[in-house]
Amino acid sequence: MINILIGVGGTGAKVVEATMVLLAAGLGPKNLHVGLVDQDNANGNVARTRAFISDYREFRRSWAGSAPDNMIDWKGSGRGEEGLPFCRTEVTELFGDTSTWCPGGDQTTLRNTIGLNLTDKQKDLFDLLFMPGEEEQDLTLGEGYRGRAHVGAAALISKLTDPANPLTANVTELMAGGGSRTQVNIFVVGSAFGGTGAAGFPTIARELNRIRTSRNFTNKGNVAIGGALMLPYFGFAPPDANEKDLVVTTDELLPKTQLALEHYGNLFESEQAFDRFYLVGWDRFFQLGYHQAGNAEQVNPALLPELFAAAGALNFLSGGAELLQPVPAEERVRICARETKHVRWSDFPLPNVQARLGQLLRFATYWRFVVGDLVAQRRPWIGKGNWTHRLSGKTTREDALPGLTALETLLDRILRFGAVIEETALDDWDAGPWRLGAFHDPSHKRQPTDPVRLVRSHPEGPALFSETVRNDDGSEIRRDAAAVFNDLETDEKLEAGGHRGYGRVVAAAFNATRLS
Amino acid sequence: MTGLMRVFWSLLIHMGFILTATVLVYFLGGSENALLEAVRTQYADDPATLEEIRSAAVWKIIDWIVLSLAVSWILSSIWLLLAESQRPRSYQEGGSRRGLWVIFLVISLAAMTFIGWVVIWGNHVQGDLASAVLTASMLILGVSVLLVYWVATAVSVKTVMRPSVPLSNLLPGISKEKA
Repeated sequence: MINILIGVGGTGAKVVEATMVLLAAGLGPKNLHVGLVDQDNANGNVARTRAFISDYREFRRSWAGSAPDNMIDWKGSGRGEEGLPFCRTEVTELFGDTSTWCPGGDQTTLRNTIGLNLTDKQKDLFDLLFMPGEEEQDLTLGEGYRGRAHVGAAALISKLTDPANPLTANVTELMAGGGSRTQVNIFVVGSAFGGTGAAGFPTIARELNRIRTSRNFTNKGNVAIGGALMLPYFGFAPPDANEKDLVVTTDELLPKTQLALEHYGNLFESEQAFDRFYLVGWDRFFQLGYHQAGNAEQVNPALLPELFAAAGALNFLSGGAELLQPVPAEERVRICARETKHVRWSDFPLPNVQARLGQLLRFATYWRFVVGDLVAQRRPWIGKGNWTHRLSGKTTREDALPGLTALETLLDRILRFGAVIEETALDDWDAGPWRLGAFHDPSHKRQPTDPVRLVRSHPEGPALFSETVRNDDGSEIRRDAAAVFNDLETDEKLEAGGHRGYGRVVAAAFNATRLS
Repeated sequence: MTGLMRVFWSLLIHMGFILTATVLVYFLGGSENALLEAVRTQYADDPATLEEIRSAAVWKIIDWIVLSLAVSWILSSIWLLLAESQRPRSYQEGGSRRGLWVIFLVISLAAMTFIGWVVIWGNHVQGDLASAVLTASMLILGVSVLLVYWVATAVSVKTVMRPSVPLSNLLPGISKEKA
């Protein structure tokens, strides 16, 4: 089975970021091709997700056998012995050596894209559809489509019609299933508001649908397309006076969304681009309290709805042959809602989220605040040393340093993601699924784009670890730090599998920090 | 493994040390030469009395060994049961009973001294045995008390509490099990 995830625009990229966290938790399929499509190539949200994907891949590369003395076994023996769930999904960048495709280049405008060399009649039509000047025709698209979805859609369609564009070329090749009848699941995620996502989400989905239904397509009947549309869930502060006409304001979000949903309603009646369709919204707006039009400055904090959308993406991508079966139109759109005021594990539309994501956060905490120090300790002259020395055998820490560094970088991202989600959730969180507040750096000055920093070490690490994850009834996980420490010292099954060197340490720590 | 099982393991180790120390002392004091020159001269023409004196003196030392190591076993058992009740979350917490371990060791050495004062000096055994034999016996017993307490606690204590026993990583443990 081939799985493809495409995040369109800044919000799409943020959902992909949340998906990467769930993949690290072991909730994803065995393989996933990930791509980001954004006209705003320097967008901070996109850059952060791209860095996450890169760090994830670097971690897997470091431990996949390039250093044979230190490796993690993700495959298992096949004799009932499973590989390590942590980061088990092999993530491939969709566009060769990068995960991002910027359709139009940095300085392009709609006029440069489709408005040159037109006949008089075509030019009249161009002027009729798009406002002259910087508002639309000469709007620099290097910072995204700035809420003008029709401008973006036109620009994007013109790029997609070029068969050599990286998106169509790479996805078409994957959709063909390598010449064999292989199931291909494609999930597209973007926002209904804003610019790039609103323009790209339906445009790309329709293009993919066109490919899979075309006469010459060889893998017909084996391609499932799912999509998640993010309804407005956050608001900006009002923009500066000179940017007011060029960006989307919070007041415009709902009317734009209404128009978008009407468009999708019409689309579903005429064209079944999606086999499964997920809509994600939120009762209240997360107020970001600032405004950046785009570019690198647009680094929005991770927000809860993105994690829900990511769970929806993996809900789809974990599906099997049933995704290829036609479903009644009334069941094609999935709707779910929270039953409680506050967010709980059971709200996520994916099985095992508490077990897996909870374990990941516990593992990240335990590694950062407990295991890291043990690994850094010198081996004693006599005796076996601590459990990390015992498990790593004769391999030295220096041998495993690239992999350990990649692991710590990845865990930093995961912990930061969890801490930011918790911090920005405010009233939705009360006694929520996890609690990382004890690890906040008190010297960090809270900023809207950077609400939380975590301390590097904490003297009470083991004690606080036990309180990291909560059950839905508010109780703490019974398997506390004492049980984890005891198992790491005594349970030889923790490192079972084909792990080697410090890979055994990683596997043991991950398995020991399970919830039950 | 339960606390009682650990106490039992400690008992086995103590019995091994008692047996070893007893055999050593028994052979050390196995001939008339183990007695003081003055005693041997006094009873030179009465070998039966000499043998009786020698045997009584050796058995007093064996009593000293048995009683001292019994106290060591009791103290090590108390310490093992206290350690068993701990749920450490780290090596630091696993070493939290080291102070008590040292105190119990000092108590067992003090108890050995007290028992020796009562059993040996109280019965004037030092007036019968050659000083070399007595000194060697004291050394054997002292080393045994130190070693048996260390080995019994290091080997029998639950794994996560081993940091409380100094140099315990030099010895194997008997338990690999969940708490």
